[in-house]
Amino acid sequence: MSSPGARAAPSSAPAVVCERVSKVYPGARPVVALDAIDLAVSAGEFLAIVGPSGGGKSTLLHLVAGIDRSTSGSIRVGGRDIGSLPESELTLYRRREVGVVFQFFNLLPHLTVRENVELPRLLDGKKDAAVAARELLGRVDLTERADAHPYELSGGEMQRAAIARGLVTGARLLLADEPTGNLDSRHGEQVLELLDEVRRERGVTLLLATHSQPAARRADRTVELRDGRFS
Amino acid sequence: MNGFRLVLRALVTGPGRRRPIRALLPVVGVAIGVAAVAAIHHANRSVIESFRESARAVAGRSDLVVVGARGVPLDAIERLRFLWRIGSFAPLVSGSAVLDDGTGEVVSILGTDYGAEGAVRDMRLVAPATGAERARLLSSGTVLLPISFASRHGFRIGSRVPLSSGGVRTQVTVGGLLALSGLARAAGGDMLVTDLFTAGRLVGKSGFVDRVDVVLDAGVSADAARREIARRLPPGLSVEPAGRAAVEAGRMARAFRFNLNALGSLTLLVGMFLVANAVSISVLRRRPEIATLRSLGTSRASIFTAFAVEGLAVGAAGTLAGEVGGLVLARIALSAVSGTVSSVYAPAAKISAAGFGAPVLAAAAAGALSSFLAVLLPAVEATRVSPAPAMRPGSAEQVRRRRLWPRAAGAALALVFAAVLSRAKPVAGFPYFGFAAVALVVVALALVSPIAVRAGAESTRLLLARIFGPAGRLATAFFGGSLARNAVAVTALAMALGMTLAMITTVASMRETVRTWVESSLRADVWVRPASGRAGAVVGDLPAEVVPFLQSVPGVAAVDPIRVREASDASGRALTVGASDFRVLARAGGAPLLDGRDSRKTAEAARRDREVLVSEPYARRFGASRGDIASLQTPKGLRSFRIAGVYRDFTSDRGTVLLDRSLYLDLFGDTRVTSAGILAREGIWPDDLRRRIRAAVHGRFAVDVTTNRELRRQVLRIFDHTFAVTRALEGIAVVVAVLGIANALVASAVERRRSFGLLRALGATRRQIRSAVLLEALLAGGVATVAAVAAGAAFAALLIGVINPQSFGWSFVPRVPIGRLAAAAAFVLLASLAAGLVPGRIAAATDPAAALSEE
Repeated sequence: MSSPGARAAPSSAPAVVCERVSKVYPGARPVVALDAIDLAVSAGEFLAIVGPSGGGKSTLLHLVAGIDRSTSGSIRVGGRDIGSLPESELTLYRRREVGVVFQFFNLLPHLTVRENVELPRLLDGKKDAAVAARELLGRVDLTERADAHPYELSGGEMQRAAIARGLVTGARLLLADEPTGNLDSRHGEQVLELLDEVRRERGVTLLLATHSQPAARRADRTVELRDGRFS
Repeated sequence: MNGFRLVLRALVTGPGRRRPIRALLPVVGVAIGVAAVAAIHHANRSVIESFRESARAVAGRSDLVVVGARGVPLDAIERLRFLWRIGSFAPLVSGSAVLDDGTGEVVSILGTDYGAEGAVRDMRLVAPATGAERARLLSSGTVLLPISFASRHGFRIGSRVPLSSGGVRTQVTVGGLLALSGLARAAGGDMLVTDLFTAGRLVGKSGFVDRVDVVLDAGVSADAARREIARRLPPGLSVEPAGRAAVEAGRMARAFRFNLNALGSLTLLVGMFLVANAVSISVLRRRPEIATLRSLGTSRASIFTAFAVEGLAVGAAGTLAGEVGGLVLARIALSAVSGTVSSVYAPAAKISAAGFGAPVLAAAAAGALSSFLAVLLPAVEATRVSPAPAMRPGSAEQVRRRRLWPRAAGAALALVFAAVLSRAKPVAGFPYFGFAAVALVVVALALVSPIAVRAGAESTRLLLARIFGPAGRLATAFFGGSLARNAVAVTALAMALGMTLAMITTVASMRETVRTWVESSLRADVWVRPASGRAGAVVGDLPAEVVPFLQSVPGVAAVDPIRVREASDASGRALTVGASDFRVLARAGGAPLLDGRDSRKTAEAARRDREVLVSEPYARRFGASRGDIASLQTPKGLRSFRIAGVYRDFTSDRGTVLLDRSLYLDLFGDTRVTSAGILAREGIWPDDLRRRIRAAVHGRFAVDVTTNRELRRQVLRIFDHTFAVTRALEGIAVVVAVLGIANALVASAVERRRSFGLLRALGATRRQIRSAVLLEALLAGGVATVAAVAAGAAFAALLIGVINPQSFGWSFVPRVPIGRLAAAAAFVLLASLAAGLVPGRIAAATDPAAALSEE
């Protein structure tokens, strides 16, 4: 297990830099999910974040994805401190610069697979959403299932659709939170294979939170997050 | 048992405690429905109870009552003296007058025989206290007032009470004050009691009483006594069980109560749909949990029972909250209803609030039953699906999708049955099959709603996406995707709006028909009626001498003395008998005949041949037509007449037999006049004639003099006033339904929190999400409006073509008021949009991290 930033990244320019990032969930007994962590991820790098449940993996991905804000510290993505962005710019950041793949797929049940994939690009007012979605659905081998609803798909198919949705905006940063956690080993392996392939093809930086050692072995680098700290 | 407790905690109490707002939403849905039901039921019951209470106060303890076609002549009372051996009896004169103290209030006048009264009715004198002073009560022109009425108007013992009664102004003296019990409760306590002679003078019934109440001693057979009384009575008089008068009183304002009942049922139905909506949402939301429990081996019965418990608990909590809201709403509804009843139907009637017990129970039953029924189907459905697919998101919608086409077939079948039932005849004068047809249209609407929701979503998908971009696309996806939830909300709104559109169309058709009828039937230039104060209806009648007096006024060409009174046919069925001078009818027209013949010639022939005209409600109610025979109980006994024609009439839904005045005087010997129509001489303007008559009657008769134009306006004003309540009730139903849409959307926003969180995570702005929810609300309103137009057309056809003619005997020329219908639809669309504001704000405020952390 290497320490964060210790191993050489494929590209010298850092895509994601976290400096003394903490996240505390308030309450009667405040929970420290992340405790002043530092992390640098290079552009195009595949970083696996491993560790036990409750260790802070998902929290870290949520902060980098801009769907939550840190309690302290800074997170820079492409040189921009996303923690200091106003809400409107943070929304645009989520829309354009980052794609997220969740453990429970999080496809919108009332939209078809095609509509789910088109959605982020449509939210941005892009006219070519249908073309981009068609291309990506072909890439993840779901062309035939494009008009199905999520509940008509298998778990593996749903996750492939989620990957296509994560990439449709042309984001250079893809975050995957336990993407195989809900899949059997065969489908899990296929999804990991797909993530790795598209990452290479598109030069995407991939942060993968996982329990799975085989998944972590595919990464360029692995870090372990335990009790909110890198070990 | 412990296992079931866990199931209950997993499905019901646990989620409720964790998400109290979610748990509260169905309760709010139930509460809205229950509040509406309680309020309408209370207003309706108050009207019926007030009429019955008044009738009971007058009937007292009587077992039998003697009545006559023209009342009971005083000499006939002599024949009842034998009754002293087996009981007692007391005569009663009743009528009404206008209080001339500036309030214009209408009071009931009851004349009794003080000596005989005690055996039949209770009357407790609270003042004066001494026997000597009480003796003065017997002097003529002295009246007793209920103490509450006296204190409200500032009357004390010795006060002079100014009255307009029987067409003359007079004064009576307060001789005593009554406790508000027994007879003093008649007309809600707004009445005065006096001796028979004074009452007869005040209401113009000298020589007659209206009824004689008979109380039999214990052990005396009522049947035997009745037979004996009947044997001794002269022709034209009859003896009836006393309870019948109370029942008849309860039938007063039948049309109006029908109106309330129809709208009350509508609100109840809308309320039930709201309950179903709210509870179905909560059941559907927990399908994954049900599936998990099923996969762990929980029995179907346990799951079903858990939801049944929840349905009852939601019903109970919502009912409790709804009852509180209902008490507030009931005051508003009652105030509107009582105003209309006393100003239009029964001037002397005072509507007071009935007890809340029955409405509370009825609303509680409606709330509990509908909650239970609402939970039944989703719970059964949820327990039937196999666990694995049910754990997936959207599985509820999948179930609904498969069942759409059988629904379409069911809807078509329901409409065919509705068409068949609409052709059936009424049962005992009540359009049961017509109502069943309305219910079937509602069933068809409920069945077809999911199809309409999906069609609405699909047909607007491209358009909304083009206009509103991603928000439009999301809106159609949300709307079409949540079939189960949206279909129930759309059904409730479509039903309320459909019924509202139908009522608007029906009322517009009625108004237009009435307007045309008023123009063709009110042909006199000037009308003279007894002074009626604040009341819209005629109060009391006029003395016979008013007719020659009016004929002597310069400028008067002819006077038609019109008489309207209650009567009965050969079978004792109540109807209205009217008398008019057919010579005036033959000269000026009026009484427009349904078959289009000239009413002037018909009137002339009827006068000559001693035939009668009958109103349309009479013809429908008694199944009579031109050439048939109409029977009437008269003081001279039962008489039969050939029907010369059927005329359009909206003055009474009981049915009227119209006689020439000479025939009426011959049979009834009643010279009094209800109102008089006056024809002006050539060259005399109606306004001028009215001035002349007013100047002539001043100081002699207490009458209202109006021109034909004013009377027509008055008739239409009363019509509009009557239907103001209808409009208010329609408004309540629509507001309740729009609240239902809001409730469904709030529930939906809370339920789709994760989806909204995900959308925010994917970069959707708050504005985009808010717009999507608003557009979804607009779609719900739009689809409901389209469905409502179709359902409304069916409802209107049934109301105008089946229910109204079968209930009241009135037929209307259909008229579609496009402007008002469009305004109602636009209001609902705007209200639906407004209903999306709060859920839109909730959805837009979703914190993506928190929402996505929920699994």
